[in-house]
Amino acid sequence: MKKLLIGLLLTTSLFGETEFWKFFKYSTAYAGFNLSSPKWEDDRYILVDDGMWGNIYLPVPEIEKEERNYEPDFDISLGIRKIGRFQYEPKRGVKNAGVGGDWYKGDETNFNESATIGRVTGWEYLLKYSTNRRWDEKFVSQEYYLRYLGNNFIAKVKYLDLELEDLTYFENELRFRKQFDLPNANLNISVGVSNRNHPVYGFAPQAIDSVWYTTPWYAFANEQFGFEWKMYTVGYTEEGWPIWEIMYDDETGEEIALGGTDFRWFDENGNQVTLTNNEFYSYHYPRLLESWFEEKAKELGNQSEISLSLGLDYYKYTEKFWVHAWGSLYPVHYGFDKYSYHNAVSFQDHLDEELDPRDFKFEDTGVGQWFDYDLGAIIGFKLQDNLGFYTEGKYLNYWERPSYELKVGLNYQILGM
Amino acid sequence: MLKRIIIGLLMVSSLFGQSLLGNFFKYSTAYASFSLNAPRYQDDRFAIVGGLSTGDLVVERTDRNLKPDFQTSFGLRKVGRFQYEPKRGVKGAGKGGTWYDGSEQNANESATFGPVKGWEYLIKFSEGRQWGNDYVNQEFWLRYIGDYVMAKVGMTELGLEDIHYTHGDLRLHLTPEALGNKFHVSVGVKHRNHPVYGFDAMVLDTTWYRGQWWQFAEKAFGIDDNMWYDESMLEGYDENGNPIWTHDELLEYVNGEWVPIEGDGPFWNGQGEYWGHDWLWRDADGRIFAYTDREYFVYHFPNMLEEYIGGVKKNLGNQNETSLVLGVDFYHYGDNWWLHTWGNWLPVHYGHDLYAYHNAAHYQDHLTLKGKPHEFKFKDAMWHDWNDYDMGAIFGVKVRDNLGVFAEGRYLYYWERPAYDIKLGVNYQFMGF
Repeated sequence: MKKLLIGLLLTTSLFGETEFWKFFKYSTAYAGFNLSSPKWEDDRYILVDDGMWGNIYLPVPEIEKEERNYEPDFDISLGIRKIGRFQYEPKRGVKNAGVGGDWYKGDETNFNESATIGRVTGWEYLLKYSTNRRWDEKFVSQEYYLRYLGNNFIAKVKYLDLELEDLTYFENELRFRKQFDLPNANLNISVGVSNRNHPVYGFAPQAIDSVWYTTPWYAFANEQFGFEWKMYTVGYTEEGWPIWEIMYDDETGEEIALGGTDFRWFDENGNQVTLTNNEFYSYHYPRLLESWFEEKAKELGNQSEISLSLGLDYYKYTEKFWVHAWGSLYPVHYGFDKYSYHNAVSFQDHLDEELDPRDFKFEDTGVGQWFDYDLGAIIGFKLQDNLGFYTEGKYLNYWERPSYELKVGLNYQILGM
Repeated sequence: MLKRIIIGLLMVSSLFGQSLLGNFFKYSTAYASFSLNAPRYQDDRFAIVGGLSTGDLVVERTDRNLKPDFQTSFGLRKVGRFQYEPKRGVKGAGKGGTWYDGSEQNANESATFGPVKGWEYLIKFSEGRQWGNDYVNQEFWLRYIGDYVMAKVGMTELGLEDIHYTHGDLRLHLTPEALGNKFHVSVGVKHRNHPVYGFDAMVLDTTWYRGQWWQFAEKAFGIDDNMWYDESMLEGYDENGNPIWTHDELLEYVNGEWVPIEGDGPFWNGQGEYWGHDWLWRDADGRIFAYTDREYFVYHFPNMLEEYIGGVKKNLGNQNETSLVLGVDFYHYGDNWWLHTWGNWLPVHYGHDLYAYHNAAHYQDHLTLKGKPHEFKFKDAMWHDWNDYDMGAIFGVKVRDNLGVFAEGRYLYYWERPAYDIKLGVNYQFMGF
């Protein structure tokens, strides 16, 4: 955020003073705070050992009540925006609030913010940051972009971070564009290159790190999570080995496990977490492993690709009908880093051939072919003065991580019967 | 319920002549919408399911993709627009206004009085899924505002907040001219019908902790426990044929010697001993899902009980209370600032049913006095006092032509179950330096 603000100021300082003010003129800054009640959770009851467990004459165990109230949900949003308003858009901001329009509250969704071509030529920008909590889970969403729309070219830098969808990227893009003017409409075709920088996407944990499956699992849990185990047993044999006995199901006679010796597990603070190995790796290990994978992927840093970009934008507006549609396709890419997505594609092919993920060989930097795209449309149609339909949506699919929103609907006003 | 409301609306409207019927629906707006969103991302989860002793691990991958979030909404509304509200509907859409899509939050829909007299109504139904949780939100109401009387019937269900009630509200109101017709004072009665609220699992069903728990678990959850045993620990049988087990201390190797482990151990006999037997738990399909009673109770029982108590509550049906209600509403609109605020207070109530909230309030007192849940005595239908209330406000001020501040919110607090939504913010437009 800080870098982008500095970037914006640096960019603007390249102009003269008048140009600098022009750059900010008519932009709107907003801040919003929303607080709402969270999802209701009933209290939960746990039975605990009272020392008489299993005693048929004293069947009432001790009960512990776990209160499970979530903290209130909230959203804190900050932003500054200067984006030309398309005619079909609702009016927002100080001027319009209270007189048929509304405030910028930070929760509005403007699908057309992701369109390649804006309504006006020149500089446009958007800085949008929100920090949120839903059902006790905190996350951040942020989007910053600066775009210059010339008569024949578009230049754009953008940073998007959707923590909830786990999608983050930084993009620089330069395209040539050709506009075709049509009655009440225009069509833009654009072609250029885009450089995108993003965290590691598309690799399974086996390709990211081999330690977790090549080291004995208990040693791994000890080294990586700081967990420790302690063995216990009912005794040991004459040779000094702990005793293991077969356990049988009383009803079926089936052999179900070995007993007599097991392990307790303690977390890094020495707190006892489980009383057996089975309990540890059934209920705790997968969650610990998941956090560890996330950390390992993060340690690999950002990966970079440069891609050919092709775009199409169409806009038509009349009072009864409007359509705004856009799409960008990235079909060919050059991956610069070991974990760039061209290698992730090869890794997927490797898995499709049912080969062991551990045997995957990374390729050098090079050209890869896959389809990344983002598209969107806003269509409104008033069939009569009192009947209208709408469709609004956007779909982004980069590195097979889709992010989308779609709305369709109709409104009918009853005028008489 | 929606069907009943629509039939009710039609029946009410059919009481009038055709022209009145036409007037009743005139200028109302019907809408339907569907929205679909990407759900939150969840990484796949990996578990070790074999090879622990050999070191050649068998890894199982669980795909944890959530289904897309969605919402389907439809509604019919004839609610007077306050001047400060954004324009919505066919007429305004595409010309500075926007469509009704079911996601709009109009805090003032919960205000007692609207900007116009006569009939108003709202039918709003949404069904959706968020992060894998299905929900239904619905709000239906029909209101008549006369010169001195306000009558309203309605139903509200907030699925995720777990609030659900139907209500009938009849009030006398006064709008003093001396205060510029901006201020309403109202008094009346409100009747509410709702599921069981305010009782916990300890009083709703005592069988789960007052009988033999293993029998309760088998019967209530459709699962089965079987004993397992270690032959070497079986000493023999007593005269009644019950097995006699050896109890061995569980030993841990510490500083070169074997010492008894501290704590209760994995077998809940309270002494950290190995006693050669315990119970394994099988699900309805016969699959083992826990190897000891302890594992079952720590990791599985709480969820099962929660679901079971939910069913118990549902079977008890709806409860009724009639309450005194006092209300105030204020509305001012000017070019540069506006304020719309309202509040209702329900201080005294008559609980009609066994599980109505007067008994829940008594139950809370019983717990506060350290009474045991299973010893609580339910009281007959009676008057009781506690504070239920709902309130809201919408405030906007344009400090300058390019600087505005807003606050909007509503807070409902019935039966100690809060539901609220509050927004605050500032907008500033750069006009020049």
